[in-house]
Amino acid sequence: MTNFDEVNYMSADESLIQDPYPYYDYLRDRCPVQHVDALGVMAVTGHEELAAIQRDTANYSSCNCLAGMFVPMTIPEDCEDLGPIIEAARVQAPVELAPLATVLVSLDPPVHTDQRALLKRVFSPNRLRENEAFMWRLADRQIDEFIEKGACELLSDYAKPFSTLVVADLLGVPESDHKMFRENLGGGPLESMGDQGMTSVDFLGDYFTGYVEERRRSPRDDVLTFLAEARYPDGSTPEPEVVGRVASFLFAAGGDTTSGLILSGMRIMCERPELQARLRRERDRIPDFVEETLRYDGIVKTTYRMARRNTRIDGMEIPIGTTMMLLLSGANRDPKRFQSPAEFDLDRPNAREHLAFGRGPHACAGAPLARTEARVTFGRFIDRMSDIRLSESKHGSAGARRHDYEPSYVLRKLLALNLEFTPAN
Amino acid sequence: MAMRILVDRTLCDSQAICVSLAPDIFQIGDEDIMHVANESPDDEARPLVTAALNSCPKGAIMLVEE
Repeated sequence: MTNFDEVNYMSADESLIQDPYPYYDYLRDRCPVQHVDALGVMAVTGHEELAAIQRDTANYSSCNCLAGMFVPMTIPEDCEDLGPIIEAARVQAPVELAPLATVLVSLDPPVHTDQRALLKRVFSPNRLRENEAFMWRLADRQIDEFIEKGACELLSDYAKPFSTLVVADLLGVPESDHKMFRENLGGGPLESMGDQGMTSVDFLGDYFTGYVEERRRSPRDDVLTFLAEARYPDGSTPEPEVVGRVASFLFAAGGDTTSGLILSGMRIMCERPELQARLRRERDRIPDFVEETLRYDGIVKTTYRMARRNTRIDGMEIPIGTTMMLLLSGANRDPKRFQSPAEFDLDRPNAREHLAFGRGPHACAGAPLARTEARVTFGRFIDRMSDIRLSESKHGSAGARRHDYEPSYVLRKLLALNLEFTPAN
Repeated sequence: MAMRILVDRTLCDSQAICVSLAPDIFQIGDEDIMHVANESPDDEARPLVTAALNSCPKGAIMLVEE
């Protein structure tokens, strides 16, 4: 029996990896914002408090958002605002920590505001509409590869290549390069930036930087040119490496997260036959299914902030430099916001208030993309396969399931989902 | 009190959750970004506008009372 007073959430504790939700409930029942001695952080599980912290860039920096890690800094006595020290640390970061210090999610205003603005043309409504047409074709091509077997492993056979190629298409990667992307993108989860996750990001960074330079010299009527011509809000031109870095970052941001969402939803659909039957009868409820999946079992469990000033929340003092551990998946089960939060409820009226994509300036830019990928995937699987179920030999029978999750305190990621189905006719 | 809708353009992503909630007020135009079609709607629209404000993940929508 795990001792919740002493457990180290930021370790690979097996019980928390299997099911973190009882721990979140334990924390939230004590206090929506509280100091966790075992970690030296303030853990936030309250919905209102978490959303407020993410919106408050004056008091909270995103420098440590990835896994709670940042470049080591010294906080001088009587410091009133860590902002200048954080920015200096970014510039002076040793080369192996430079990616951590400059990745988009860790930036603060005003640099964040400028670089984030570059994404508006990538995720514009028209661009997403064109990309959705590609998604339907891609879903069918992927499904064609395994449908006759009556079985598949959802992550390697579908979700990973699907999510990778969707981002590639969104960024205008020529179809002739898609095979190379599918083969080369090992792309580890975000918190593995620093080891082999970075090699893929370097490869992608160089790839896109090269295209930006080439398209600026010789523009064409294509998305890569559109990307190359993006300007900062003040009209100035970003360095090609910045555009390249932001573009390549999207593969990390939209890879494991989206494939994880697809697996999470499919697991729920397979474990609840009456829900699957209902979605087959009421296909227009698939978007609601996606939202409730995001709330009930979303992928990014944990993110971080650092108090850049002495501040307060809920009447509690938060000293400058405090690490705030924001438990998004815990806040998504806050009973103050969601009735019967531990229940999966397709008819929940306020499912969209979940924090799976965050709030504030860093709220996920790819959320519309992720939602569409999940909607297209679930729709196409339901169209083309009847009676989708979990492989009992791999995952056990109902009531005694076995699932392997990645040992990550940041991402809630199934390592595999083995399905069986009958091809529909 | 009449309400006026303001949008922080540095935050707005055109994710268009507001558009799905109140399509008469929030729209995607030819320039492919969200714009406010009616900045000063009647008070009956307040619940919808409030829902849009609360649903915007970026927190880009603000209401000013005048």
